[in-house]
Amino acid sequence: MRMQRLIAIVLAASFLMTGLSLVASDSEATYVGHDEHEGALRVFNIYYAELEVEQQFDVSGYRVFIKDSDNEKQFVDYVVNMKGTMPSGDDSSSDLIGKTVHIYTGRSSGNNDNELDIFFQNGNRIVVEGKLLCSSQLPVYVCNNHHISVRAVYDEEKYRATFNWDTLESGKQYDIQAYDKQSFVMNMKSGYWYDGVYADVDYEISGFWTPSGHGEGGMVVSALLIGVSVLILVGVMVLSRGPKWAR
Amino acid sequence: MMSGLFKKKVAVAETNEYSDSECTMTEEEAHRNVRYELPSVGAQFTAVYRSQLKLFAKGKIIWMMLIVVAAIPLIVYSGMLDSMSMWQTSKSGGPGDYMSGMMGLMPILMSILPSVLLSRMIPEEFKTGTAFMDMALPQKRSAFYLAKFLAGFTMVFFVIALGYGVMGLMVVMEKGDIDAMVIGKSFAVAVTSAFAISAISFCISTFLKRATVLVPIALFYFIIPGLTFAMMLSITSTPFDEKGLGLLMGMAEAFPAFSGEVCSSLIGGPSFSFSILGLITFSAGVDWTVDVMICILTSLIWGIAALGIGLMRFVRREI
Repeated sequence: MRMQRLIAIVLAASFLMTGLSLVASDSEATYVGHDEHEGALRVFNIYYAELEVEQQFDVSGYRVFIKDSDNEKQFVDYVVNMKGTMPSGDDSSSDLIGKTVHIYTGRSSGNNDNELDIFFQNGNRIVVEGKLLCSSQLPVYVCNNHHISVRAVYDEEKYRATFNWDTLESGKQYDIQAYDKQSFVMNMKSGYWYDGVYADVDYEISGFWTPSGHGEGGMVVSALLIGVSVLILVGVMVLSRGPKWAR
Repeated sequence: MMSGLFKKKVAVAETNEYSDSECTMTEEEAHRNVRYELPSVGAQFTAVYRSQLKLFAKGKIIWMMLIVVAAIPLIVYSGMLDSMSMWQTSKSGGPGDYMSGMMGLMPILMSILPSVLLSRMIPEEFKTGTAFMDMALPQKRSAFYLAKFLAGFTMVFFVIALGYGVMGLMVVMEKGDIDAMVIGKSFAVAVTSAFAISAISFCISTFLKRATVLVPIALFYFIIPGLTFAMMLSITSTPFDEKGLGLLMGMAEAFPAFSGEVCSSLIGGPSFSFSILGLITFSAGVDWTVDVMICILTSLIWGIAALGIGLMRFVRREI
């Protein structure tokens, strides 16, 4: 009878600890699993130069904004933060004399990222100091042996989109297998850089796996599970001294 | 087993009809005026459960299981895995990936362990002849059947809990703390799937005259995965397109035969595992994405149904 009670206590404790381990597993730690990304895509590197305007000028293929104007804020917010809408025009037709302007372009001079070529409509050209507003590359994704779906929608007459250096046909979905941990880069390039420095791009990537399991509580659960199994083992061992008839 | 299954009450003798005899035994010793009562079903259940656990404890099975669990850290720390690319990926990933990398043998264990423990008990009772003694006793066959099953499943549960605990602690030591929910989900699927596989193995054993572990192992490790792959090939030319994967995940949710792969992938990626479809899906970079609750529910349904069928067969079995 004493033995039966002991067994009952051991088994009850086992189940109790199992229950506790499952309750403990409901901690607030979040599981990192599939990650989906949607939004506008930054097309390629966008540089800008700051100029003090002494006489009215005319440029083509650039975006010109008066420094800190509402138009510029909207443009930067759209391009950098992917918020709002792209302003339909710029400030180039405004009276710029005596004002500080920012000229945005999609490419540097080619010699140095800190140098920008500005071509004026009258044929003049200047090389000025430029700054990088944002990079064209998407964040680099780490993928653990899973597959990725990519879809980019863009104007194929003006741009060329690549994912991991393979051309993406506009609007078509690609399933790309990853056989090991690797990085993927998505790029948009324009054959006619002067056509603009931006484009509306809709992209969709799914199936990404980030390194999983980061969180808390695993230590407690593991200890509880080992405790449960030790209790079972003890219970079974105690039973091996059990009734004499069970041979 | 008789003395353990009966309560004994010595009744007060109303007449001294034996007083003139030369017998020197007491009333109790002579079983005179003694009323025997069957113990409750619960007590019968406990007696069989204890005796079966005692058999396990006296056998080598506990030590074999402890060796299997002890082999996990041994394999990891001995450097046996270091040359394998899948292990490198697991090591460089998060805590879940690291633990998942240790679970490559889960599909084999999930097939073999319940089969070895559960599929031999009933046939061996008949083979050794103890069944003919036990069945003749005035005890509920259902208590006998269910107690045997629970004893076997207790051992299966012991190995799974210990395995998860050991792996969890190794991960914490090597990669830092791991999300409790990740382990909890995977453990819940492992336990319920093991319950289903144990019950099906036990059920099959009630139909067999000779003890064999090969039938349930073949069923869970070869036949169901093989049929699934054949079905995938029949509905689509490339097995891992949307249709093929949909079928595979549906089968994984419907049958516990894929629980090893599912448990591993619930912890993290890559879901590398030593099984027919585990190796193929790994090489194709396919994820095992299933609904955990559906997996648990279907496993419970399979397990309860198999136990019921086995019980019906066992109760009707002629000695």
